[in-house]
Amino acid sequence: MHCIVLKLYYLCRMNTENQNAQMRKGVLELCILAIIAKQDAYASDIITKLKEAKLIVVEGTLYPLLTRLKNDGLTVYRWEESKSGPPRKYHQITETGMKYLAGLTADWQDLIGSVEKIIGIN
Amino acid sequence: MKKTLTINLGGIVFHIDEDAYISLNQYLENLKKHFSQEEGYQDILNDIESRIAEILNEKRSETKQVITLEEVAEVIAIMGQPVEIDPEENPQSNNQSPDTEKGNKRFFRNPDEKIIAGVCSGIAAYFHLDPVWVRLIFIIFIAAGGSGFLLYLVLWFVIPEAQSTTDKLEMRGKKVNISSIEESMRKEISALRGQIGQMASESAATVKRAGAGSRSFFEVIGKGVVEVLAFFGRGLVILSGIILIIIGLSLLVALLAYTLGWTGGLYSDNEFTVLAFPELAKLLIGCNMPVGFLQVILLMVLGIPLLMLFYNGLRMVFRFDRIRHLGLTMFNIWVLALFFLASSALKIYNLYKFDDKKQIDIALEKPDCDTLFVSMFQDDPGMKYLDNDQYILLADWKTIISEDKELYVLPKIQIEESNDSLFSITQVAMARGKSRLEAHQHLTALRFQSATSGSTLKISPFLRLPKEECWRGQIIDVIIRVPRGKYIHFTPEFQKLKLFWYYMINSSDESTFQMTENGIEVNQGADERKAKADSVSAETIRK
Repeated sequence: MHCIVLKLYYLCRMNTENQNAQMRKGVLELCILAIIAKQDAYASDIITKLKEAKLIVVEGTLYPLLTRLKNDGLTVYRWEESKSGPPRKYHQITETGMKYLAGLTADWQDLIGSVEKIIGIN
Repeated sequence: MKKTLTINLGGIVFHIDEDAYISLNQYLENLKKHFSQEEGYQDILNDIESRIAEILNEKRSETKQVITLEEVAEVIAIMGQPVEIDPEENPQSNNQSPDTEKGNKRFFRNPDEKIIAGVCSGIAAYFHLDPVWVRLIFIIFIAAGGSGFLLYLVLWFVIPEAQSTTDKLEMRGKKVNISSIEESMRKEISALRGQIGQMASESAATVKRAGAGSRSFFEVIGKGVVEVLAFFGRGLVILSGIILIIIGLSLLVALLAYTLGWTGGLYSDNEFTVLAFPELAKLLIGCNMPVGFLQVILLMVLGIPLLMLFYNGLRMVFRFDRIRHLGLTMFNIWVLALFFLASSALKIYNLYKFDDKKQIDIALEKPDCDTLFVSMFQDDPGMKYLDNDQYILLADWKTIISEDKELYVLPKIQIEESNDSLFSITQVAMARGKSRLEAHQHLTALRFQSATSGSTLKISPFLRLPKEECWRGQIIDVIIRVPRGKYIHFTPEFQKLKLFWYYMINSSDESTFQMTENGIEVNQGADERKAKADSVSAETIRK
């Protein structure tokens, strides 16, 4: 997995509605990883936070991303008993995930800085 | 009142309305299809299922136990359609830009309106036609040389079957979105009600498969091979079914035509007519036995196997359930009919059991003459039928039915070599009957004239049976013995009768024959002599 921010940069130069979704998805990965890094979370927690931030429209979007993060070794999950139903899947960030998140955050800040500079000039 | 189902979704038990279940199941199927290329797609689906269960669980209360279609629709809206969830994943949905009204249109076989494999109804759905017209075109092509049949097989092989709702919408060229899926699902709900049980077991199988993890390469290959074999097997079965239908049906029609006498006679070639059964039976059996009874028996004995052939062909093609006890009933009827047929055959045999024979030597005034002239009685009623060239074959005898419904049988004329230097003629008459007396009566009722004067033999062209007489093997055999080196001359009328020995000699123009050491031969010398005599006489007249 290459730098999401570079991917975002690339996508900014295209102009379809679909690309908007792509960009959103790239940002989503960063956000999900950040949420999990703060505290182990299960799907509903993540959804609540993302919804508050108006980052997702349909909940279904989350699950493929979670699975991809897990497959890339950035997160792991464990099953935890729940009082109100069947066991829940709690996602937890790995060391690789932490490093990756750090790099990603730095990239993101760089990008925001650059973009703001350009916007400021114009 | 509505039927509900109990489902286990993400480890929680729900009571769900039937229509809501169908909708939810379809949604999950679509998701599964959408993510099936993704690594670990089963995880995604399980997570989504759990989340759906969670949302639905929150909506439940003490007073509201059953999940309805409305709630399922809400959940689907929350979770989002596959395209909304993950637009990147499906390149097909990327291509489908929002401004194409019609959406993707693809050829599918239509499993909902199929007769054989749904090829025709699939084509009809693609072009928005009534399937009847497409089928009609195929049938016309099959009738005109069978090319339609091959085309059908190829299309069957090439075009996939529409399995999911998305497929079925694409088959009709409708855009695939929530509302169109819902619309088509509503249409399907009524049709699907009967199949709910089957679908439930299918989804159970899906869960089982999910538990077993991803299928191995060999499992996929094995399944593919089985499917291909099943496909060819089915094709073969349908092909043989069609052949059985065609054979069974055409033979049945032929049998009916023959037994019931639709055509009166079957013309096997220009010269002979094979009589249809009723006419033949009337002649052969006559008034002694009801022909109708024999017709029924014959139809059963020959018709039942053909009918079963036809029925089994139909079953192979259209796969309907066997009709209970049909085979056994038919077999019993057939055995019974066979028994009656055997007893009838015995009765018929008895009608012909005894024979009688009358042999007369016809004396010639000049047995030592050089040439024997054979001619016909010009006033014989049979002379009218000399030009008839449609003979009916009755047990090898060429016969004619006259205008007065009398039976005319062609006599047999045999030419043999004489033992001495004299011509001699023997006439043998034969007839059969159920008793010696009856055989004799049949014999004496025969009408056949023969007479001699000088060196001329006159005979009737036909042996005639009186109107009321049935055919009981009456025959006339005229044996003419010709001394070696002598001649026999037939008048030209005999050529019209097409007697068998005429063919043997292989010359229908000649009418004078000589007995040689090699048997009877055309006497060309005699004809030349005659021709010379004619020209001489013509010269004489001129002079």
